[in-house]
Amino acid sequence: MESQLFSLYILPEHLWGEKTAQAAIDFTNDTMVGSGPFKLAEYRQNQFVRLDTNQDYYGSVPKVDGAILQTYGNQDALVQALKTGEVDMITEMPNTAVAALRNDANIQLVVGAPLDPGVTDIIFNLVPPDQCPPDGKCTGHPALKDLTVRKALAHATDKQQLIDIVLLGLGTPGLTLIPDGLGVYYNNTLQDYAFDIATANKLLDDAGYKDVNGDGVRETPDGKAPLSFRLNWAGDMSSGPRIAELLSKTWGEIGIKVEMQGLDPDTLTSVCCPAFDYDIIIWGWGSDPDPAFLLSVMTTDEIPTGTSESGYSNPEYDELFAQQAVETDKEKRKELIWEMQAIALRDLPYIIPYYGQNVQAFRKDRFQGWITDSSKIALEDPSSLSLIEPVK
Amino acid sequence: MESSHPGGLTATMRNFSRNRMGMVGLAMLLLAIALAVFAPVIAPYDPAKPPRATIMDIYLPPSAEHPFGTDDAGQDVLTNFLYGARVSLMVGFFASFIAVAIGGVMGLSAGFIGGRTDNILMRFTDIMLVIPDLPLAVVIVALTKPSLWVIVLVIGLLGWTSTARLIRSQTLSVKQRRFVTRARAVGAGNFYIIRRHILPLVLPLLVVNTVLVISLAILNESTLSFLGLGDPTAPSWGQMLNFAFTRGAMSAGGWWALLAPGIGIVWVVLACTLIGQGLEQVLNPRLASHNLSSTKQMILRPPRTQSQHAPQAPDQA
Amino acid sequence: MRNRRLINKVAWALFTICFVIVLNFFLFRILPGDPARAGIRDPRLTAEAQQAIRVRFGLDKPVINCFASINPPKPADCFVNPLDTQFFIYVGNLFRGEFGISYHSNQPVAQVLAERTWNTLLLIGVAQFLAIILGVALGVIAAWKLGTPVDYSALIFSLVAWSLPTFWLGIILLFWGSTNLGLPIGGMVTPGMNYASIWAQVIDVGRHMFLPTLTYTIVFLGEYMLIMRSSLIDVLSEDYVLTAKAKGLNSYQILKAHALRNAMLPMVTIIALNLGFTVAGAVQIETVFSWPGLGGAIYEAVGQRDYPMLQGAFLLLAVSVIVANLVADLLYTYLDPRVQLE
Repeated sequence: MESQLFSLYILPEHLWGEKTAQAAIDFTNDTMVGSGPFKLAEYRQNQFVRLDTNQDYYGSVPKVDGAILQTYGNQDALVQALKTGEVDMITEMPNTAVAALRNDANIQLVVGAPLDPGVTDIIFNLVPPDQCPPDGKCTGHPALKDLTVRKALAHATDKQQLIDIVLLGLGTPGLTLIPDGLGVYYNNTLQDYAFDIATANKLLDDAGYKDVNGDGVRETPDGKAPLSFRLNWAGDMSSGPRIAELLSKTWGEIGIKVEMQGLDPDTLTSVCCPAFDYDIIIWGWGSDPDPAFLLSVMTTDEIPTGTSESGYSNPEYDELFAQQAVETDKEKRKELIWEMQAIALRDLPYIIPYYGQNVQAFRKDRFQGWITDSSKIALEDPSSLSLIEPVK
Repeated sequence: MESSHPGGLTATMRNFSRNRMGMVGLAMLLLAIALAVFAPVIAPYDPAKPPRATIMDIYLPPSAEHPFGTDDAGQDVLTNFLYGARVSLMVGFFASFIAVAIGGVMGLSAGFIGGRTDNILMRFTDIMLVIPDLPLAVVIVALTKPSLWVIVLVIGLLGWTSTARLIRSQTLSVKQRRFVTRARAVGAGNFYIIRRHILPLVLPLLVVNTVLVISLAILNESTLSFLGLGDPTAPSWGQMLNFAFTRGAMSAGGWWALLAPGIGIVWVVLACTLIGQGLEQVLNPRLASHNLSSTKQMILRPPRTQSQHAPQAPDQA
Repeated sequence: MRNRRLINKVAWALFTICFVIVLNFFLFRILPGDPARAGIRDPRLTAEAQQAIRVRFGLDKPVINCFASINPPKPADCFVNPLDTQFFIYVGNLFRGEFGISYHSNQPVAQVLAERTWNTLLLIGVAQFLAIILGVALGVIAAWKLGTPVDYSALIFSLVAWSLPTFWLGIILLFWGSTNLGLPIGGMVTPGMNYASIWAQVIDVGRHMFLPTLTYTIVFLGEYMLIMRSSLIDVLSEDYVLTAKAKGLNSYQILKAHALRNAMLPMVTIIALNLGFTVAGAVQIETVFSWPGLGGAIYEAVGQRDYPMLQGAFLLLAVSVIVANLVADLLYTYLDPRVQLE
């Protein structure tokens, strides 16, 4: 149940006990109340947040006087700011800068799985007609509901190239929605679909997807619809256009065409789910420390709620999900969860290109004492900020 | 037929060929077009089937293998630059075609018909003139589906005002000339007068304007693409700059990924500006020198302003 | 006659503003992307919560009589009170100086815009001032030295400057300046600084302003130079310059006494009318340099689908361009004796 607690917050009852839902919506949180080691001193939207040290903190009082979290308009500027010493630490940076920063004597890079491991996913619209939600459009391409086509796409997805190009190598190939950052819950025994254009082509040939009219794009076995899919991604993903472009090239080699378009997250949500008005979407999830939520994403129950993005429906999987929710034995629950991952990889409601790693960096000549040895990195976390002290 | 008029298209062309600045611009533009047309021949790689790039190929500096270096995806910058020229030039040409067609028709009808039509059309033009183009384009492109044709359409639909004003005043002045009034007196129809007398004299100006609108359209497209509003399936120069800027070209030291497309844009815009200047001088040779100068010299006029912000007072009265 | 002309011009400007208000309101409702949906953000909210958000942003009312919504159009009840429709509430709020509430920050749009506007004005003001001074100086020199290498160099510089994409020049200068001159990379002030004196603060803002101002100045300099040059050549071709020459005045005296004042005339109009382009430049420069101004606000609001912010910023821009046009027009009438009467 840790997963549920992870996103539940404690609220003071004397303030909130009597309030209605309307009041919660109107609440703008102008005067912040908290109990942490830092206090908010000044906030300018899209510019910076200035934190002062809370001298009355009940734990160990931070050794620094405060911290300023500054916003930059682009990531290149961020790296430049660290190089010139305008900032002491950065929590987000383009992976392209890694090589340059590695050679800088004053800068320490920290690479690893982040506190909330992220998953980048390629979602297929699989919603069965009888499961189409009441307000759904369910316009998915019929060919994608054929596992053979999805398998061919998986074989034609060059995960290592995506990691190399998009993440500059700072990631690991993905299997299912459960990232390797989740430790024991991650099923590391599964065998992925190897990148192999010939196998992919053979799968499609054998299943009767032939290029009848010779335009380089295969048609469905009945010869009616070309294998041309809409491919959308969330416009706020800076990697979106590159992933889409690389996919379109390798998928193009097996006679599958995609119409690429980035959509802003709101529009994407409205075509995605529960409307199911798409073919393929590139998007992502942040993970809780417990896999329960990400596993629920593939259950039949979540199709009408909009949490299920693919519309995947498999009673066997649903049953396992119900079992793991009530299983109290940790080892047995792990077994159930591993089995669910095996099913997910077999049925491919998603292709997971990779699990990304985070890169953060700090200046060695300013502050020392950052927590860098933990498996989960977050230099901006108060746990780190309250330990650091100026370099003498 | 058209050449019978002094200042017609053929005469203009002949004089233009003697204009140094204009010819330099034309040569620059032709070179850019040639590069775009022969991209498949010149480009070292096929952008649709590039060699499989790995982490070792990212932001490689210029070398024999990659004369312009590689970009954030390990792709050859020269190849993308050449194919990007196709997209950028195409947007420039199509968008300016739309703009000039609308502006030309508006200006011609306002100037020729006059009266209430003129008043309404020009009032509408005035309104469009004061609406800030770029923010409006950003909003429209962002809220519709980002495709090349939407971008072409938006740039075209927002860029016709200067043409309309210019063509209107030219039409007004031609209309008053004696041969037009004579033609009317002998019973020539409106369509005949426009085709036979007005158009030949308006056409050179329309060409000047087209060239200048092309440069504006290319600048606008690159700006929209740079702001992340380009068509991902048609990588233009602006799109290349967007990728380089958002995917850390500078922090990786990959200045070459920014340089090539930027210079491409400057090159084409400068070429169009020079051509426009050259044509302008040919059409308006009155100001060849002034009373304080000892040399005979052609005059350059600011490209954007003369057409777009012609002081309104005199012909509005 | 002059008064009538003045009244005409002002009335026309007011009409244009009304047109922009209407366009501004309906544009965001005709285009795909529903403001109601963008305001709600998460479609998984309960129906009551969605309705509460609609009420908060005033999206529960019909857009205008007979249309419950425009996208897709649904001719609904035509007999609602027109004053109780989104359009008239919007117009009414505008008159009270209210631009609505930002979807993204939950702050009043007017308040956010006001702060942003000052930042942009500071940047544009300084840069335009520099561009005008330098552009005019360069233009005068070039026109005076017509046909010489000085003229050619100035001309080529101006043409290239004019052809530069603003954002590209910005990126190049950003990395040159931050690497070689140690200038800040973005923002307007060093955050969290406690300034020893007002001068320390001015210097800090100045350091942040240097690169964006430089970019801006170069981009506009070229245009001003070209205008000034051709305008001065124009004036110098007039007969009275010849007369003055015949009277024995030297070139410098002629420039000072006659030509410059007249040649400045078109500059006045053009500087004021340039506001539209200035804004386009602001969007680019503020994006590159993370400058917290109006242009950056538009760019952010587009990404966040923050319709009230977009609407507010757009209206503000359009109205300033209209007003600048009006001022330029009137100024021109006032300055140029030839354009007095109808």
